[in-house]
Amino acid sequence: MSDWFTASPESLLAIALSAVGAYAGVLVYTRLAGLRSFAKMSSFDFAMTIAIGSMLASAILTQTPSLLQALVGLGALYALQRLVGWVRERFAWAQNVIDNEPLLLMDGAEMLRDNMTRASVTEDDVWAKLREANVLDVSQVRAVVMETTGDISVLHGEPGGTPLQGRILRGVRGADRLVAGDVDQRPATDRTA
Amino acid sequence: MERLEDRFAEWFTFSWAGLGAVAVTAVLAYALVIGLTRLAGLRSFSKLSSFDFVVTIAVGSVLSSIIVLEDVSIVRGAVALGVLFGLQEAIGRLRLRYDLVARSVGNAPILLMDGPRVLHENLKKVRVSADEVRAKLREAGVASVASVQAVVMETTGEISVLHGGPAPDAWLMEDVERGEAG
Repeated sequence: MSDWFTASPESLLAIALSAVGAYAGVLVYTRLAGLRSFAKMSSFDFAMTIAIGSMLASAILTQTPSLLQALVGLGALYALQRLVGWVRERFAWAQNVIDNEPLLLMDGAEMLRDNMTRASVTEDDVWAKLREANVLDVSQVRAVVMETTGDISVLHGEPGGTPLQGRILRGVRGADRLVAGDVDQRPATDRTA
Repeated sequence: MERLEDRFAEWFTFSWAGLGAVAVTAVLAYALVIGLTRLAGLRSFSKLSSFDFVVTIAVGSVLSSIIVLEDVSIVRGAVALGVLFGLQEAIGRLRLRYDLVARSVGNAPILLMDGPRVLHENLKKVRVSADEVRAKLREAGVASVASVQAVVMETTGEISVLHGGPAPDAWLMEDVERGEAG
C-alpha cells in the first residue's frame, strides 16, 4: 500500500533526468519534422500527437520504457508521420487509401440524412456545429462538410451574398448534388487548376 | 550503495533487441490505426459527442503503450484498439437510431446567455464563471454585449457564441436546455 504514496530518492532523480532527456528529444524531433509535426490534416494526425504525448509521459514516469527506448519509439512515430505525409502528398492514390474522404452533410439549408447516417452524425450534432460557427438562421447555410479529420466545417453567409464556388468543395463526397445555382459554372477542367 | 546505483541505472538501461522491437511495433501499430480509421470512417476522431475526445486520447495512449511497453504486445494492443473503435461505432449507430441513447450518453447543451443577458443560474449548473463566458465572447470577436444573440455550452464542452445579425431561429436552438431563461 505504501508503494502508492512513497518514492525512493533515486527514482525521483531518475524521473527528473528522464523528463529533461525526453523533453529535449521531443524538441529536437519537432524541429526536424517541422510544422506538420502536430498539424491536424489527415484522419489520424491527432491520435499521433496524443501518442507522442503519452510516450513522453511513459518515458518520464516509469522505469520501462527506458529513456533511450522511448526516444527510439518517438523517433519512429515522427518518422512514420513524415513518411506517410510525404507519400500522401506525392501520390493521389495513397491519399485515397490513407484518408477518409470528406462528406457533405448539408446542402444549403437542407440536411442530407443519408450522408449523416453514413457518418453516424445526429441532427443535434449538426445543430451544435452550426451554433459553434455563429449561424443565426438556417437560410445562411451554404454547405456543411465533415472533414477528413472528423472536424465539421460550416460554410455560411448572408442569403444572396457571395455564391459558393464549386472548387471549394473539391473532393467532397456528395458535393455533386449541390443546387446548380450555387456551383461554379465554369468547365470542370478550369476548376481543377 | 552499489545497489542504489543499480536501481538508478535501471531507468536508463536498454537492449538492442528492445530498441528493434520498439521500431517494429511502431510500424505495425501505426498501420493498424490507419486501417481501423479507414474501417470506422469519418467519425473516428470527430468531436461530436461528450466522450469522442476522450476516446481519441485513449487511442493515442494505447498506441503509445503498444510501441514502448513490452507488457503491451501488439496483439493485446490490437484487441484494445479494436474494442475502442468498435464501441465508438456501436454507440455512434445507437445514438443515431434511438433518441433515448443520444440523450443518455451525452450531456444536453445548455443556454448560458439569452441575448445580452447572462443566465447566472445556468452558469452555476455547469460551473462556468462569468469571466470564462467573457473570454469566450472575446474569442468569438464580440465587441459589444448588445450584439450577442445567444451563448450555448455544447455537449462536447465547447462554447458557441451566436452574435450579430438576427435572433437565432427556433430550429437551431431546439435541443438546447433553457433553464432559467424559461
